[in-house]
Amino acid sequence: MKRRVAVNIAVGTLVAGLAGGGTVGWPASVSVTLGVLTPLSPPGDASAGQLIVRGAELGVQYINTVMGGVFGGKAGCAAPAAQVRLAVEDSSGVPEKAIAGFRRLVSEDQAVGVWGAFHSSAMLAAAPLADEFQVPYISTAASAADITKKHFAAVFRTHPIDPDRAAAWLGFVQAQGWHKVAMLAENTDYGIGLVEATRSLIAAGKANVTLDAVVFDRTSSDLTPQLLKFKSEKPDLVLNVGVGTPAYLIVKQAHDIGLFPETPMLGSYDFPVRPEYWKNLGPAGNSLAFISYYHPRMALSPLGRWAAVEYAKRYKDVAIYANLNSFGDAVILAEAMNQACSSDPKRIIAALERGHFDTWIGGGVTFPRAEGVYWHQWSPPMIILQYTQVDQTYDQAPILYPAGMKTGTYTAPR
Amino acid sequence: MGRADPRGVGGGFPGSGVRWAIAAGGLLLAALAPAALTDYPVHVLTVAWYYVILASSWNLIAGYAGLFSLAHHVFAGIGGYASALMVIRTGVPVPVGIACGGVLAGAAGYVIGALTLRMRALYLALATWAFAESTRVFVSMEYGITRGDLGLPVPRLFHTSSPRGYYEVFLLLAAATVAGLALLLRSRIGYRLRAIRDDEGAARAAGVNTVRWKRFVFAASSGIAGIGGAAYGHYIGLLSPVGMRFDEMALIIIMVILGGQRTLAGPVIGALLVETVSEALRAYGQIRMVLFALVVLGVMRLYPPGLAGLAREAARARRRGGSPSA
Amino acid sequence: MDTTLIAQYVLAGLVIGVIYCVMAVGITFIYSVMKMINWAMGEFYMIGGYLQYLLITLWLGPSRWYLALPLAVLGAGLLGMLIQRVLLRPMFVGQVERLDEYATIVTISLTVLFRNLAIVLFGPYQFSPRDYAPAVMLGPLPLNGSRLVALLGAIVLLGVFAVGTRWTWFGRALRAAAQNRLGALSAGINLPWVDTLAFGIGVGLAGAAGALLAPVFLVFPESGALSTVKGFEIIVIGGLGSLPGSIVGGLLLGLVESLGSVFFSPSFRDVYGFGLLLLILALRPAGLWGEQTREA
Repeated sequence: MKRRVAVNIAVGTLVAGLAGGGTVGWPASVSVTLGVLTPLSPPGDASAGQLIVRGAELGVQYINTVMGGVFGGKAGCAAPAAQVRLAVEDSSGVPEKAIAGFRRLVSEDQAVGVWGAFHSSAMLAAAPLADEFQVPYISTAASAADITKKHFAAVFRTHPIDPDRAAAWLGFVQAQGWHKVAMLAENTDYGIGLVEATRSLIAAGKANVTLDAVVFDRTSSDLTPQLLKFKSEKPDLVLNVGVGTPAYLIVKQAHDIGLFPETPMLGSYDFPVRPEYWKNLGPAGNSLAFISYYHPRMALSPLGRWAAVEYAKRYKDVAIYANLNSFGDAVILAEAMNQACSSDPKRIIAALERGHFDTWIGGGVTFPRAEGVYWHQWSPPMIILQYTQVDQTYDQAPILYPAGMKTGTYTAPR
Repeated sequence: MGRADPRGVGGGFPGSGVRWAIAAGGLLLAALAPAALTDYPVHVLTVAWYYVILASSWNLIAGYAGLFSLAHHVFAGIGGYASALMVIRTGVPVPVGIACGGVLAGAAGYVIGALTLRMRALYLALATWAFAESTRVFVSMEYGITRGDLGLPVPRLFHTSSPRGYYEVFLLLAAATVAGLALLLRSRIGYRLRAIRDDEGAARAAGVNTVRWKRFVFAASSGIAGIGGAAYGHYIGLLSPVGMRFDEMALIIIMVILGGQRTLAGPVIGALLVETVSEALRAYGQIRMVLFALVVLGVMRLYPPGLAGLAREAARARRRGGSPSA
Repeated sequence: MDTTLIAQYVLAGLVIGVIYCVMAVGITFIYSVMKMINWAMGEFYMIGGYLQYLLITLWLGPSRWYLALPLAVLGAGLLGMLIQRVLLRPMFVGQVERLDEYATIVTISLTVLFRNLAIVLFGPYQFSPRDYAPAVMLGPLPLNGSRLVALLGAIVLLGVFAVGTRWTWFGRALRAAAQNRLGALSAGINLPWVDTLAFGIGVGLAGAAGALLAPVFLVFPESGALSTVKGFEIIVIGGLGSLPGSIVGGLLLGLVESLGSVFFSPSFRDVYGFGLLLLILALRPAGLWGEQTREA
């Protein structure tokens, strides 16, 4: 008897949850909805998704408070001002769920623009829907070439493409006079894409470099064998192409076996900018060079400055690229709406193609219909920094590349 | 206290005639449902029918034959990749690809069945799990062929991304799976499988060719999963190794347990419910999975027959005139 | 190929192998007493890691990590005992039909529960306590201080475990339960409590591995996945229910993985273990040291 009651309660709760969840109806209002589709649960990278959501929330805050909403006289648009609302859907990094999430954003939440992708497979699965619904879909952090190479009419990207990132580090390698490069890449779209991009640049003769690229399974914790193999090859540089936990493990374990910092290592993205970098690695994290997307010496636009300050206030944390890029995407969509003077997604797409937009970094953004992988593509700048002291903050780190921005040279440990 | 039903297959409902009527009615309702729904719920239900195929076929091998395979999701993935690569490389029509995907997955299942013949339950679980993880790593690493985590673009079955046509396809496949299983389990093969599950030694002593039937059930359940996985690939238009992660297997187990193992309706109820609730609770991210895990633990601990068992109890109680069966 | 490098590979393999032995011993111990496999062992590894990290950062400070360690292990063990009491005891008092299945489903669900709960509570981030000790040189080979501590800690744990099960009264009761449950019961041993404590000890070992390896492999919600894999590989190789088998299996696995990475491709490192596992299952299904039991 007790058992039946318990089960009845359980089933009842489930049904109630289903009914309640299904009718998460937002009250009809005059606001415009923007949508974020990003991984917030496994198997996707939930930490990346959370950073993207934070940036998006900040973007919407900026639009509604500083910009005073969309329309209302901006860009010469006389339509009445409207507030912007954010709808967030979890793609879990799974293609099928990305499709479901995109459909939900467009048909249930009435989103007129979507961004926030991190995993390329999820983005690629939902991209055809963007074209079908004619709703603009911006890739915030998904790097696969196909996203823009396939020339989807409604898909745009504000993230560096793999050829650009590979060109950055190959350029750095050449500038340093190095020739032998070892690369340890995770088996995700990010890692594999970069292996392929680096290989093709070398094959095309763009760099006089030999490359030993090893791919590892992201669930591996012990990368010592691969690193020992590198050690025996005595490369000039080791490329650390891991994201999150693997990025830290590579630095740590390379340090343990005496590979790093005797051999220089370059991190492929800006994870060292996060405050937990020094907490997780301690002194082992010193001397790491890494790619970053901005530095206080670069022209952060007023938008970017606002974002950095507000982010610190709201989340008590340092804003990093993932936040800023997501913030930028939100604002770009709002600007496109103003320039189109319409919240009709089709007009927003046209405005995105024609217009010139401010974002978190100076220089402005455009999405031209260019050839190949540069279709609807804007890449933020990439610079290479190096930590030269323990507990250094990235604003103190010297810039090593590109030459036009250099403030220091690569410092080998004593 | 176990509530094992001695009549085995879906017993407890009042008479098989009524049962078929309910099933037919449900099928008709399901087939007509998309007319009243927008594309988003139709997509979710299409995926739910896909999981019905997987859950039912796993119930065959684990629930009815007692072979606790932990590689079921990978057989679906093998079917998916095989079909996709075949259609891409050789240009055969998609339905042919799907059929081949099923055959290949079935063959792989047959091999695994043969390798694990003499293994005790725990070792079988471990071996299938090792096979599943190895396959996942292999598919992920051989990105030259499979595109790995970048995603393998798969030619669609219909030249549209609208889920409506696919919904009927998956509904048909799910119905065929359940009907096929019903017939199989009612047949002598079904009795043999249940005999193997309950006591393999006694079954062998009674003349059941356990070797043949264990391999058969592996091949059959993997083949069905392979067909499901292949159809899935040609619907979503993209395959990635993410479906070969162990989380997917845990999900199948959750669906079957919640719905009720060793019943035909169980996996159907479980898959439909878990998938739709999962989608409805999407906003709650990880908490959703925590809740599912807790509910499964509750069901296992307190009421193993699951929801199908609950339905059966209700039917029984009603037949008895409403007297409670504490 | 340079011998120093091979030596470094072997050393790395052995160090990790010994630590994973601890996981394997935990799994096999639970199996031998309770005759069930706990698929959630990795999650207790993860819990041990989190407890260790929290104790160090919130209370004891990095210099007193050796005080945090036993507390983390105790925490993991107590949690395990609670779970056993609530979820698994019914298996043994005649309330469950099919034991293997029940145990598998329940422990797999625990895996899902703990992994997602960790994300809910601590976020999907990674943490690391400071290294437990500075790096040392074993001859020409560098060895990270934390790995050395983990190696020594694992050896100490295995030693204590071996001594405890052989020479204490409680250890004897456990061995009795492992050999013959009915006999133990009739000898007056309180079997349900023995089960609970055995489970607690088993998962405590996993928690210890997690706490020891926290600065080596970091602490994050999915950190249990890999250790489960390794633990199971080892017990299949070494034999379910055999302690020496677990130890030898652990060392063997560590070696096979390292050398496989050297001579074949390092990308497939984790697959070599599976290959060895499938080989053993095909040739000697009970494992190297396993008992050849007959299915009743």
